Parts: sequence; C-alpha cells; structure tokens
Amino acid sequence: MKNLKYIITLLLLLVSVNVAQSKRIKFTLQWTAQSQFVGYYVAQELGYYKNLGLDVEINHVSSSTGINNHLNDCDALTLKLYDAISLISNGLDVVNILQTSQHSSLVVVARHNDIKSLSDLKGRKVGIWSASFRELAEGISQDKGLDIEWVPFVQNINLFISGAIDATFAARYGEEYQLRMSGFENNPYIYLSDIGYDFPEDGLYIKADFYKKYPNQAKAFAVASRMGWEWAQQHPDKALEIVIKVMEREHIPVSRRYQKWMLEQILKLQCDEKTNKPSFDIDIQKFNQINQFLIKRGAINKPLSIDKIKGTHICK
Amino acid sequence: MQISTPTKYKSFSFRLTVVILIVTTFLFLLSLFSIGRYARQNVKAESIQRAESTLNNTILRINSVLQSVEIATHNLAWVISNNLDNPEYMYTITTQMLQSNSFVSGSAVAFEPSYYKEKGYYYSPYSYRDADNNIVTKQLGDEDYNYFYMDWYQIPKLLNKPYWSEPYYDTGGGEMIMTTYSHPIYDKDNNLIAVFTADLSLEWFEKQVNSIKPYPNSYNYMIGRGGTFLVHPNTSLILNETIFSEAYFEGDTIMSTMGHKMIEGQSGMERSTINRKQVYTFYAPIEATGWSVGVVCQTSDIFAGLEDMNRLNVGIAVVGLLLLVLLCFTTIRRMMRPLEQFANSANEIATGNFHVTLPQIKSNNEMKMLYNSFEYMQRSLNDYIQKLQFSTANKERIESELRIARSIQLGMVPKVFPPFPDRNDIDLYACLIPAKEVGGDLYDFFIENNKLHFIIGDVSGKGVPASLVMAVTCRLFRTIAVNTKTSEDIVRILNNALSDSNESNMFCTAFVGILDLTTGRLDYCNAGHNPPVIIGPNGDAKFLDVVSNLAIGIWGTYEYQGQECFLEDSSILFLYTDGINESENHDKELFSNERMVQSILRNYKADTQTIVEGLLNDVKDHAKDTPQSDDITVLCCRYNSPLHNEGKALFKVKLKNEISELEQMNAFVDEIGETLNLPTEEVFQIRLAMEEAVANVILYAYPKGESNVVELEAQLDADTLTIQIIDYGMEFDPTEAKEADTTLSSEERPIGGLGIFLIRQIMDSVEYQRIDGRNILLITKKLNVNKSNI
Repeated sequence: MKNLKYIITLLLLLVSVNVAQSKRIKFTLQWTAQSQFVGYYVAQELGYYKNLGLDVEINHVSSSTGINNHLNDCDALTLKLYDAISLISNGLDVVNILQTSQHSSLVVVARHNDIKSLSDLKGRKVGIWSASFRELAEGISQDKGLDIEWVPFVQNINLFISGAIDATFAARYGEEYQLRMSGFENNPYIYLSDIGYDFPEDGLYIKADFYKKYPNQAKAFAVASRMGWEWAQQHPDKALEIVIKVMEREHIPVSRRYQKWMLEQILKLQCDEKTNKPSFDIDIQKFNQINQFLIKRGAINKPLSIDKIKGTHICK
Repeated sequence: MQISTPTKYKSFSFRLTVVILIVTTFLFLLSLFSIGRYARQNVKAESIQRAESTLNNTILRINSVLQSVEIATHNLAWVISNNLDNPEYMYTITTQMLQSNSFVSGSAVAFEPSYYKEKGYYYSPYSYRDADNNIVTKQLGDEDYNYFYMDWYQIPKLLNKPYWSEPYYDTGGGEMIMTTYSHPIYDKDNNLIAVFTADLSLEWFEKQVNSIKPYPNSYNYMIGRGGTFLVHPNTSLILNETIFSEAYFEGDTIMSTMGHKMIEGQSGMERSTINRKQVYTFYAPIEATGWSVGVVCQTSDIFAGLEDMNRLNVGIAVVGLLLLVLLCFTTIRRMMRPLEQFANSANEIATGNFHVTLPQIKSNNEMKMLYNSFEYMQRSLNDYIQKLQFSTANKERIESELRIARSIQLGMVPKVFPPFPDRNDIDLYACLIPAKEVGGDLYDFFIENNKLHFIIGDVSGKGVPASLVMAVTCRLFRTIAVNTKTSEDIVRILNNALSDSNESNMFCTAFVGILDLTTGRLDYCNAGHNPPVIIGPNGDAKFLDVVSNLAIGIWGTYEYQGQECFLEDSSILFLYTDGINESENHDKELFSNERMVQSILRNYKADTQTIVEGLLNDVKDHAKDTPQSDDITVLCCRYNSPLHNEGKALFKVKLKNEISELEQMNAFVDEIGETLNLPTEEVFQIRLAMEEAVANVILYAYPKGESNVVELEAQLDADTLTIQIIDYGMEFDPTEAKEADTTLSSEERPIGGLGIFLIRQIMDSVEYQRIDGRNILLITKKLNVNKSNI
C-alpha cells in the first residue's frame, strides 16, 4: 500500500507537469457493457483517470463483431491472456499493463446428463464464441482428441435451450448464470480450471507506440485502472450501481441479478489462489503453460517472453 | 318468621337463553364450516376450470395465429425456391408476406454467406412495417448485423427444421422485441440456401396474454423455453429475468419446480406464495413456440365471492343469534314471570297474609296448574289457621286454668320453710314438683300436741284427675289427723273416705306418720308407699321397715297395720315419691335407691333444705334433657331430741329400787323446783305425781329381792318440763293400766291404777316407751316459767 501511494504521488507529480493538456486514451473493451469491466467503469466514474491527467474514452465492441475487429482503432484494449500471447506473437504490438484475471472462467455445460467429462464430447456439437476462445477450445479438443463439431455463437443460450447443440462453452460470470437461470441448474458443469486449463484471461493492454511515447500516462492508466478494481473489491454493491448506470447509458437491458452474479464471479476470478487477493500481475507459470499450449497448437512458433508482453523491453 | 332472601338469583330465563345460544351457535358454526368447506371445494374446482378455460382459449387463439404464420411461410418458401434465380424478387416475396399477414411485422429471406456472389457475403432482403405502418424493404445483413449468428438463422440451420426463435430485441430491422419464425430452404442437394423468416411482435403476444383476466387482481406472464419472462406486468423482468432466477433469489422452490414443468410443456396449477400472498398459478404451453403462459390468481380473489358469502352468512348468523337470544329471553322471561309472582305470593303467605292476590293466569298450561295448586293451598291454609286459632284459644284457656289449678294445688301443701322456726327439735323441708301443670303427689304436715303429723303420697295417674284425688286426700288428712291419735287410724279413715266415692278407681299410695317430738317415737302406717330412709346421727342409712299395706282408695274395709319406732337424736327421716328414685335419663336408666341414698348422705350433716336441693340437683343431672315424667315429692325431716338438746336444763339422779329412795326423788324434784323457780304448789304436785310413778317402778319393775336402779332425768324445753323415769326391768306399760276406780277405797284398788290416774291429772302427758330393754315413762308438764331463771 505504501508503494502504491508512493507511485501515485510520483505519478501525480509527473502528470502535474502536463496537467494543462490531459492525455486522451481511446480504450476499447472486448464486449458490451457489463460487470466484467467494473474496475474501469469505477476508475472513470470516480475520476481516477481524470485525476491522473487522463481523458479516457471507453468504447465497447458489439456482441457480433468482437475485439479482433477493433485492434487498430484504439489506444488501449482488454484481451484474454491467451489471445494476447497469440496476437503479440503474430505481430500485434501491445503491452500488458495490468493483468486483472488470474483464472480461467471457462466452463463446459452439457445439454445432456450423459456428458460427464470432456471425453464425452467426442463427435458432439459444442457451442463456442465466434469472437474468442475458438483457438483455445480447439486446442483442448485437439489435446483430448475429441473431434468436436464446433458451433460458433454470439449468444449460446438459445442454441443450448433449443437443443441445437449438445454442449457449450460458457463463462462463469456470463453464460453459466444464464444457463443456470434457464432451468439447467442441475446439468453437468465442467470447469477448465479444474482440468488443467486454468489460463488467466482478462488483462489491460496498451499499444506499444503509446507506451513508448507516453510511458507515464500508460502507467498512470494502469494505476488508475487498478485503483478502480480495488475499489470495486471493497465496495461491490456500489460498484454494481456504477455498472448498471453505465449499462443504462449504453441502452443495454439490465438484469441486476445477472450483473451482481457477474461482478462477484469476476472479482473472485481476480484472486490469487495462494493469497486469495488480486495480484494484478501475470502468473509466470500459467503464462508459460499458455505459451506451450499455443506452440503445440501451432498458433505461435516460439514462446513469447514475459518481458515482451509486459513491455519491459520498451522501458529498457 | 322472616323469609330469608338469597342475595341474587340466577335468572332461569338467562340460563336457558345461554344454553340455547351455545347450542345454536355450535350448530351455526358447524353449518357454516361445512358449507364453507363444501363451497370452497366447489369454488376452487370452478375457478380452476374457469382459469384453465380462459387460458386454453387464449392459447388456442395464439396457436391459430402462429399456425397461420407457419402456413403462410411454408407456402411462400415454395415461391422462394422457384425464384432463386431472381434475388430481387425476394423483396417482393417478403413484402407479400406482410401484405397477406397483418400479424407479421417483418419478413426476410436470409441467404447463406455469399450465396449470390454479386450480392456479397451477406444477402438478406427484408420487408418490415415502419412507424406509419407502411411496408418498407431493405437488405439486412452486413458486418454489424451478422445474421449468421442470429438465433433465428443459426438454430433452424442446425436443427434442420423450422423454428420459432426466442423473443429478442432486434437492432437490425424491427427495432422491437419480436419472435421470428424461421423456415430453412434447401436446394436439391439438401444444402441450406436460405432461411425464410416472419417476425411477430411480442407486443401482439402481450395483448393476447393479457386478455386473460379471470379475476380483478390476477396477472399473467409468459416465459420462453428457458424460463425467460417474455410477458410480465413488471416490464423490467422481460428478457432480463427468468422464472428460475426469480425462484432462486426468492428461495421459492415451488416456483422453480413449476418453471421446469412449464418449460417442459406441461399444463397445470400450483399453489404458492408471492409477495406474502397466497396465489394459484395456472399454466399451459404454447406448443408451437415451446413457451408457457401462466395466470397468477390471488387466493383472496378466487375465494372473494366465497369470503363475501361467508361474511354474509356470519352476519346473518350473528343477527339471527341476537334475535334468537332476544326472543328466547323475552319469551321465557314472560312465561316465567308468574313464577316470580308466585314466589312473592308464597313469601307473603309465609308471613301470614293468606289472602294475598295470586297472579292471574289466562293460559291453560303448567302455570294454570300451579295457580290452582296455590289457590287450593291458600284455601286449605285459611281453614287450617282458623281451626288452629280455635284450638289454640282452647288450649290457652285450659293452660290458664291449669296454671290456676297448679297454684291452688301448690297452695294446699305447706310451702313456707322453715315451717317451725321457733322449734329446735324439728328441721323440716319439703317440696313438690309436678311433672305437668298439676300432679298427683302430695305431702302435708303439722304439729299438734307436740306431735308432728305428716303424710306423703302419690295418687295413681297424673294430671287433673290425680290432682283432684290429691286435693281430696290432703284435705281429708288435715281433717282426720287432728282428731285421730294413730297413723293406722288416720290411714284407715282416709281409705274409707276415698273408697266410698271412688268410681274412677283412683288410688293413692301414702306414708302417714306421727312423730312424738318429745320422745322421738314415730307412729307410722305405710299404704303401699316407698319405704322412707332413716339416716342415723352417724350417717348410717337404712330403709325403714314397713308393712306393705294396700294403697288408699282401693278397698274400703282393708285393715291397715301401723308400726312404730324411735328416732334417735339428729336422725333424719327422708320421705319421697317414686319421681326421685325412678327418674329416667335418656338411656332409660333409673336414678335408683342407691344413688338417692348416696345423694342424701353427701349432705346429711347439712340442713334439710340443702339435703333436698342437693338431691334434686342430682336427679336433674341424671335426667339431663329427658323431660320429667313423674311428679317429684320429697319430705325430709331431721329430729333433734329435746332430751339431748345442748344448752337446756338437765337434771339427773340414779335411785336404788328401794322405797327409801323416794326421799332422794323428792330432793330431785325440789331441786328442779328451785332451779326453775317453780311455785311451791306446782313442786308439790310434781312430787306427788313423781312419787306415784317412781314408787310404782321401785315396787314392781324388778323381781322381788333384785337390787337395781331407777334413773330419773328432767329437761326443760321451752316451757315444757319433761321427766323420764327409766328402769331396766321387764316390759311394763303403766299407761295401759285400767283407769283406777276412784269410787273404791285405797285398799280395794289395785296397785298402780290410781297412780296413773293421779299422774295424768297432775301432769300434761304420760307416755311409755320400751327402748333397748329399758322401760321409759315420759311425763311432761307445761310450766309457766321464766326462762331467764334457768
């Protein structure tokens, strides 16, 4: 905490030099407005960004386009660690400045009770987001030799309900809730974190150019975002109100219960299993595990270094 | 006598009314409960039928519309298949769809990616209605509207069959919440070419669903296949919440179970609690879409009519019961009012007012019977009281007469005690206690010639007859005793007199005695009476030896046998009737002779009144509460011999049975004369009488030649000089010697005859007693002495 105060003070001093011309950051979130991004909404709403001389413009992708279509029209964005490693290895020049998620939120929900493990998905129709996780899901399928017929989706709930798919990938904080609340509370739920694929997900990335050019603002952005997340951890009820306010502003139908569930799950996924507190940093072991998974999958040729993803080389 | 009035009566009418009220209330409640229960079941069944029927009708209506859309889509799909070579014609087809189906808000033919190369990746001709209800067209698909991932496209494609999508908010064309019917179109090789759709606004469903209104407060909702609320009065729930999220966060397991049944396509009814209100939810599926419609009816609504009826019934019951109570109370009170009046009349009668007016009874019922009984009682009481008054007057008169008779009877016997206050030789006390007003016991006494004449008697029977005989006996005794010397003669004469006119065969036991107060000789005759008790001076008691003669009045010529004895100084003669010794107590135990004697002995040294009163107290204690059954009479007399009275002049001398001793005798008389200061003539006369008497004893009392003594004793009692001449010779009574023939010369006259004659002439009395082998000759003379000289 002392360090944090020290950093904040330092940054405030740095920023105060350029306070007359606050830096604008175009920040794109990887999904429509929801509790998944509560820390950023808090930082924005409580003025953490503004106080650190940042003019952050938060944008959301549409449910059908995905973040991949918006990689080039923003200064900062959120990415899954898995996607980030792949994208950076393949030329996307972004730097992780804050790792919010420490665990995989993925769960495979079966439509039928005879599916008890991943191996039971062999030859079945399994739903997967059209915009993300496809690589990961296919990698797992390849690992297990499941020969799954993938059904990409934007919204999986009705696919699942209608019986068009036999199982679906779902996020703990998102679709799992919808499925449970659609009468599937007793169906089999297979959590990837339990079966060796506990890959951390959401992280805050900033364009490398920006990072080089405005390192202090980039750091200030990370610090303010982290402060937002910490505030949300401490005030989940108030944070929920902020989320709902943002959602209403974005004209997105609000289910308070759903968002509350999502908030709780998101905050839980941020906690390190050892300390039970958020570290906001990349777990090197899991980072390496993803590297190995991607290499095996053929998505990358060589493992991405931690320095590369964290932009340490730029600082040097 | 006062009639005691209880402080408060519990009204009969009140109690009866309460009982009727309790029973009636119980029956009312039972009836209300039964009716309520039966009605509730019926109402429930009826409400279920009503709600289900309304629900089913609505669903039928929805289904018919859905079916018409399905048919229209199916028909136009054929047209599409036939015009695939004309992509622009698809607009015409979709427009036609809207023109021919007013329910359809939009229609599209969404082709597979890049189906028409010239049309690009997305090609989906779309017709929809604008705000003015004009049909307009556009191409729907682009990068921002990637319909390939839309449910309405993706799901029928995957399912290979037509599909009603879950309602969604369409941002691409309809800009509203809609459901889309998707009909996949395949080419000859069964490859998917396009999906033909028809949109239905959810608003239309909402209208249909909300047309169900079985009860004022009922509401409806519709859920999708996953339980998502599609229609709900709380619009914030629509598309945001599911029936399961509601159940999960409200902890309502019933709702969760019902949700599963609903999404499984079942129909039915569940009872649960929503917002703390009991509700029934009726639900039925829309089979085409897999959705389910629920109608929520509050129990209070369903049973509102029943509640009204119950309230009415309770109201009627309460009013009815109040009327019943009022009616019962007043009627019973009116009917019972005569009872109270009768009670008051009875109280009046009890206080003696026999002519009290009875309540008028007009009805011919039990009250009339009571009235008749009261009236009869009143008459009977009047008669009885009159008779009672008459007999009471008679009784009082008789009692008054008896009281007078009693005082007369008691006045016939001496009742002033002590009777002889001047005499020391006699202490007498007597009493008579009749068992009834008058009795048959009697006593009497008087002193004549220094002799106490007395009688105690008991006439047979009791009451007035006995008292009359008693009175006669008393009077006769007085008359006879004065002139008769012996008790035997008194009794005999009494017997003759009473027997003569004794037609009622009454008789009287009696003990008659004459006590010579000078000598203590008691002459007595017992006529069937209890033997008296003699108590000696030392307290030795014995019953007097008596001859049991007949009672007086039985046999006129009966020869009574008299007896005699001597009373020692200070001895007590106790006479009584059987009222003493035969007094009974509660256990019929007699007082007995023994206890009587013991009682007397307890006080024998006291005066006679104390003795008698002590005995009477003992008798009373013995009898306790037992009423006295027999007359009680006691006569107690203590004899104090004048010869032994202390403080009196007493002269004694003992002479030899020799003639020469006469001189000493003369000296003895002279001494008396001097002492008493008697006149010389009187002394001379006494010497003369004494010479005669003593010489006679000296000469004849003892056999010739026997030397013995003659004792002389003189005593003055009041004004009477008593001289005893005592010898121990053979028995001889000189008083029985024939009167001397004074006409003969002294030589011719036998010895002694003249002496007695002379003695009687000089002295006032001459008596002879033989006591304990002694001849005692008592001669007395009334002196004219001055006691101060003694």
